[in-house]
Amino acid sequence: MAEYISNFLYSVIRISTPIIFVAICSTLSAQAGLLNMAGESMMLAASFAGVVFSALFHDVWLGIIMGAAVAVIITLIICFAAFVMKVDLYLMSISMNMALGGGVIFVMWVMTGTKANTAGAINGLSLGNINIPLIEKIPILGTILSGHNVFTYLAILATFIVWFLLYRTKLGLRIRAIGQNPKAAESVGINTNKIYTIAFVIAAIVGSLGGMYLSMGYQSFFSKGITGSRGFIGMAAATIGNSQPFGALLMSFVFGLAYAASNYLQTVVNDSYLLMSLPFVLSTIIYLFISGYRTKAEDRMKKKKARQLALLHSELPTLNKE
Amino acid sequence: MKASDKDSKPIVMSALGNRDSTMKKIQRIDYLYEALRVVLGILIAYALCLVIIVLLTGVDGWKDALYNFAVGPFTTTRRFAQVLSRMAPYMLVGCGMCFVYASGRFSVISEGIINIAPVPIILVMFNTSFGLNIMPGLPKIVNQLILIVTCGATGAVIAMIPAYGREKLGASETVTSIVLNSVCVYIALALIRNFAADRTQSFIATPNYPASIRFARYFGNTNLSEGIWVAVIGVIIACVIFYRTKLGAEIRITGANPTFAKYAGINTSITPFMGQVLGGIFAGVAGAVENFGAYNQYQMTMLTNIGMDGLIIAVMAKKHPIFVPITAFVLAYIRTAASVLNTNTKIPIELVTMLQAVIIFFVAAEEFLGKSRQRAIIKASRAEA
Repeated sequence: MAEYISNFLYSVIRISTPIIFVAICSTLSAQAGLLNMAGESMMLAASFAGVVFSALFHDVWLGIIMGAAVAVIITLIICFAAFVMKVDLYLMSISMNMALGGGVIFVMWVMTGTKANTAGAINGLSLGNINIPLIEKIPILGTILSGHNVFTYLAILATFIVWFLLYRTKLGLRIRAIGQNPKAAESVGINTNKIYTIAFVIAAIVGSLGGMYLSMGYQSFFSKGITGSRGFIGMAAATIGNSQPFGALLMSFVFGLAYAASNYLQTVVNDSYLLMSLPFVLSTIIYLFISGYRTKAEDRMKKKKARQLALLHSELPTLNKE
Repeated sequence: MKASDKDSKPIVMSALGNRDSTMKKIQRIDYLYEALRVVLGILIAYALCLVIIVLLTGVDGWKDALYNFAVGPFTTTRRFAQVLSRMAPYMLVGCGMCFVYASGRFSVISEGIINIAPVPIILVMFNTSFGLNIMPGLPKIVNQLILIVTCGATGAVIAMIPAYGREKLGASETVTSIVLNSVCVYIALALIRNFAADRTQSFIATPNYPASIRFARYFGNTNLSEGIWVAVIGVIIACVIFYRTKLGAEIRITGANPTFAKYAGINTSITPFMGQVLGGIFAGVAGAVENFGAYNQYQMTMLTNIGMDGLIIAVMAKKHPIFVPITAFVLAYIRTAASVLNTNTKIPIELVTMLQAVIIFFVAAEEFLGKSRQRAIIKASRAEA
């Protein structure tokens, strides 16, 4: 039983990894005040480019760097469209997701002649699992926490790095300032478009790792529909986690749990489609519930502040007399 | 005093009249440039398509490939019927998306609605005595009305989820709708498999629809069905609602300027909600037309991309339902051209999907041709002054 549970928790962490990356990616842009709908396209572009370039250079890390670079280029196109050409950001992101969904398959067809996956045609390299020296020895915790893919540890590391970036650096302060009130930030001389673009580029690098985990860690090839709307699940996770890196991390594990449960329950419940919808249903419900709660809390806060202000005003004349 | 009054009045009048005509001229320039952007965007994407096709097919086959892509859809009745049959759901979803997009929201739930909208009526059709015994005996037109109404109602109910989430709970409707799209596909498949599946098929599908509960095909066995008339009526209804009713005006105003709408006394949370529900109804009807017209049985196992195409159609039509038939035709033509090309040269249909972003980029970019427009406006105002 203990082995069963520890295996289950191990797979929760394994499945959560791409969601963590995208959630952190969305967190960064959400802190800048913009919803990053393009997480899906960053994942798609990077997961394919990573496989191709790692096969081309015979080097995993070079492949990963090139994959991230491709994601950055895609993001720069989106930023150019949104901030310079004034296309609606959401519209551009959605159409970019759609375009890359087809475009990646088109490029795959040009390169390999098939539209299903790159297995066999392109020998992409992938990162292996690593054992952590000390934790490995602990009985149950060792099997849960150790022996994961390199990307999984990178995801945890990315969470810390992004937290440090947001709360301990000048750039992070600017990103948060723009997120709070872009006009005020602009009035004190912050170039908003520049900061938006920087935030998006960093987000793209983080998000691209999530895509590359899928094609270079979880499995060793790229296949059609590899991301499976994880970009949006990650975005929901970031929003539910109040756009805090660690909140997003926590919520990613919750959704990873749902995914893992839907895998494990397949032996018990004999309806695979209902199970496949489980993570999506769960994320919708939690997302709607938390959003509603936050909106209500905000309203209450506003009313309270208004009452305090009214009270202050009614007391003012008496204060003046004294 | 009086004399000066008399003198000044005509001058003021003429100045006002002057400004009025200048405004009109500027407006005309604006419209012209908007139209130019749409046409140029489509042409650039189309030209890119042609270039890529030429590059891929090489020296030998490029003439054939180009011919297949450019003229192919018009060569046989079957292919042209295919264009029109694609156009039918496109027109409906496009009109629905106009309402959603015009109210300033990006709910792409239409995508999932196409899949799930026909499911309730299919369950009734194959499970209840009403569906099995009474419905096949009813006149065809009554059945078609039942299909349209139930699918539209299902669409409305599904569309309410992201709309309610946005207007009452403050959740982004885009996120909810995209996540819900996956839910729609899986739930629809689960329901069909458990309650209405044809066990003799190797894949998940219902038995064939009875001939009286569907839209009959035209020209023998093409995909074009009577559903096209539903689409035509749908566009007319959409135009009436959009341009001639209070709700339509409120939707347009709220989308254009929410703050103004609020101070003009428009309820800025109900209006976009209604816009999204209308979008859901139209998407539901599109689902009916697609499922009961172009298919003989329910066999959708993944998202159809019709909803996303609807968004592109609405963007190309600049949120005006009246232009939707044109843009729906353009997209249907391009899609059919790609599938004709695919059968002849194996170049995948995804080529077109990829270039849709190019179209969106040029059509929706406010700054594309912005400087030239500015110059034209300045020139026009100077000429008047």
